[in-house]
Amino acid sequence: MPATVTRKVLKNGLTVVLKPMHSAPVISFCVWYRVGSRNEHLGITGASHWVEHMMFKGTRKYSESELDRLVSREGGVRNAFTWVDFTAYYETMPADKIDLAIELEADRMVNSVFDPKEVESERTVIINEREMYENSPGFRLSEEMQAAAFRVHPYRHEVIGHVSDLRNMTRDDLFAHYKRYYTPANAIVAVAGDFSARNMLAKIQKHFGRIKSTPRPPHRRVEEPPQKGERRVIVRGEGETHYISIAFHAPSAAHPDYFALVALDSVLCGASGLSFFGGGTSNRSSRLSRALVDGGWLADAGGGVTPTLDPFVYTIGGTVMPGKDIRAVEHALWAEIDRLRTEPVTQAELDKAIKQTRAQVAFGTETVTNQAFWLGFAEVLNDHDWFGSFVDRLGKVTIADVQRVANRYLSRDNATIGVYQADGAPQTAEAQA
Amino acid sequence: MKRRAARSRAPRMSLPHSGNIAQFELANGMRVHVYENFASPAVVVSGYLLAGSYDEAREQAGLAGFVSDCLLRGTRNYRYEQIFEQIESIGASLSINSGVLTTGFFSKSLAEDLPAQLTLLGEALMHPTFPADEIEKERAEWLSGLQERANNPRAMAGLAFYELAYPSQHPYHYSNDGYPETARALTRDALVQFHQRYFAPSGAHIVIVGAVKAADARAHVERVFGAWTATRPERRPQERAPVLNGGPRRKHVNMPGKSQTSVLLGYPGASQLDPDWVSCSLMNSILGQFGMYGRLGERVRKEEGLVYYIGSRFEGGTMPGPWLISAGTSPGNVDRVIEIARAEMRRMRDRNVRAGELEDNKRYFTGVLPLQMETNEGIAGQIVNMLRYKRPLDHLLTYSERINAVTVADIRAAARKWLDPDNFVLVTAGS
Repeated sequence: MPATVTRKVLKNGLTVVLKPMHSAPVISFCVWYRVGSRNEHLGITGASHWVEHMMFKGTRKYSESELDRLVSREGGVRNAFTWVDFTAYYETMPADKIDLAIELEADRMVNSVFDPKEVESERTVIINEREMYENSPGFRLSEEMQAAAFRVHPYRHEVIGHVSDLRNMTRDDLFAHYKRYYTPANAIVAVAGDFSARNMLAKIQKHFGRIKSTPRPPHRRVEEPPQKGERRVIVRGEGETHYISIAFHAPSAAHPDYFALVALDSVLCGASGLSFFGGGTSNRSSRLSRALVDGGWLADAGGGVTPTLDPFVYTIGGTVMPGKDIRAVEHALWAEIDRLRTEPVTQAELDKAIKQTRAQVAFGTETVTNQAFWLGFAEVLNDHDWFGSFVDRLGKVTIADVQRVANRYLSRDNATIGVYQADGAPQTAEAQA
Repeated sequence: MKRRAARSRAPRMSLPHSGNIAQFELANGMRVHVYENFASPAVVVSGYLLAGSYDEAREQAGLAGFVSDCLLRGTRNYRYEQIFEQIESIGASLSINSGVLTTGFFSKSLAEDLPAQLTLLGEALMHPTFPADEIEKERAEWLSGLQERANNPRAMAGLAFYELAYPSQHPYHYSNDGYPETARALTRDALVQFHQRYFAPSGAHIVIVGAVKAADARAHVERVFGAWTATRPERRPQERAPVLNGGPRRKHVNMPGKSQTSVLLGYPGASQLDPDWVSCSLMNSILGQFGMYGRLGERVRKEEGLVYYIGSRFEGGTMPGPWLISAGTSPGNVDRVIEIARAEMRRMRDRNVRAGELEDNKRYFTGVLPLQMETNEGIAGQIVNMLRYKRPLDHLLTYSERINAVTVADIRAAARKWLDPDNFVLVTAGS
């Protein structure tokens, strides 16, 4: 379905991107703020995510319960997510009810209350959220690995923040964060669905156009120094299952090497789904699955390239098969990585990566919520056509490109190797040897 | 006439109904339902046949699931590697999973790849070969999954809940996923026999939604499944759901090292075939779902900040399943969460809900329908549910009427019938 995208910047600096599509009578209205854990420092880690929670706690005009009630009673669904580079909010609603979403989003861009009592009750909600994640060994391992891979860049902090910061941050810390980043010039409105661009733009102009402009907050650029030698992280904990993971510093989404790394990941770990909300295909024919899962080393294997503003990490890994020695598993993982460095991938493997991606793009754009997501995401990356040209750019990747990025990024000196060592795992003869 | 009626009720959204779902039955009893949707170049295949853990012996817990996991491990014409190479090289997905009463399947692909996907699905359902070496690989992955389950508080709370809420002769007492001892003991012969005995086209439904003409879809299904002649024995009558009394039954699953405790409180509940299912669903939505988790969310999360998640749900299908509240909280707050939850259950029983509250929930139930119909999966899911719960295919056309007919008194009656703040199973899992 070819659909035209309308892009406009309002006088107050708000970026608006609109994609009318008429396959179903629904609209997704999404507001993005260029703020995430990337904009935090020790003392206020987790502030962006906490502000996201506070955005649901009410404005001068609408109480928290009223906000939830109004959207639900119109058959709408709403949610929000905070990530390293952005915070995004969306309402997906029957098309004839979308005015409500526009009004509510414009209202809470500047009028959220941050009632001190609500800040306190949300503090424990967020600590509960963190404790829920901590129940999973995978979260604990990944948190430690990020802290080890990044010495300097704020990507070293988990989005949810450190417990001590969650305990000590004040209402004023959060409100200052909100006031600094929630301004039209730092925001993007992305809308997809059953509307005409002209009408939608007029509505957005009416509700958002009058919001006073403040300058887009300056961003201090932080560069992670190059890694000079492998780093190792061990997390010990409960359970009987070990996990292993390797994280390599990787290029940002805007870097010319990014798409070659996506192709490499497809060959090594299988195609990633292009729906932010789950989906995708299995990866049993990927190299890692063939060698490590079919080979009996791992019970499952996977990897993922994350599109980010600053260079992030490319991570691969899996669940260690009961009874297997972790060192032997790591050895088998490196054998597959080294194969990518020393031998070219085949044309058939590269063609497969492109066909898989084409299908995932088709599936990933079925819903207006996904469409609005990718529209806004591309704006955050400052590359309007990032998603639209995804397949084309991937199609330009050559066999030599894949081998080049394997050598450039997948080296031991650029690796953080993480192991979750389960206390309850029986010692194997192999491991004792 | 029906088509016109449908349009007047839903002017812009085309709901699937008897007038636009093409239906036919193969000679072997398999029923086929096709809904054409050319909005995107993709096709979804979804459906089920009558084989599940209900058909297992107790000492074989997990057998049905193991069989369905092994179906893609090798077939008459395809080896394991070929199957996944074919599926993944076209960016498609194909999965087969067993539940208690049925084995469900799901495929998603570009429309051009539908014939190939159906061929593979047919191979897997009709002609699996259960290669011995592949079974052992699948078993090892299964055992690893069970080992991870043992370290997952939510999963362990669930296991304990079903064991306490259902007596040992009831199929819900046992985990669909089995146990390490059954996973180790099941033989290849048991897999082959289970498949031969229970996988059959009679009673099976296949739903195809997407960019394919109904006549073409029909021809593909005939080609693949037309010659399948297997039959399965009649099922024993369903177990009655037990009634709990004699006060709360409690269990704590001790899991040192966990930051958060998983809480489950509930008991055997309704089935989707119960006449008051609609009132039950609305009553439950008011209590533990609407907006951000209904009244429970309002009290426990928003007011007291005790949890990140809490909610209530009926899990019943064609068999009555449990009704339960689930939450995650710090170990020190477990008692407070339970106290509020029970108070809210009592309030639902003792006092009428506000008319406006019921109205909001009704509007959500009917208003959210277009969002659920946006994708082929969403439409296929609605059709499969109509078939599974033996609803007429015009169910969605009259859906709003049924929702809007529910009164405040109906909600109170459903609460008095289904909410019991004194006799319940309470399981906690954590440190």
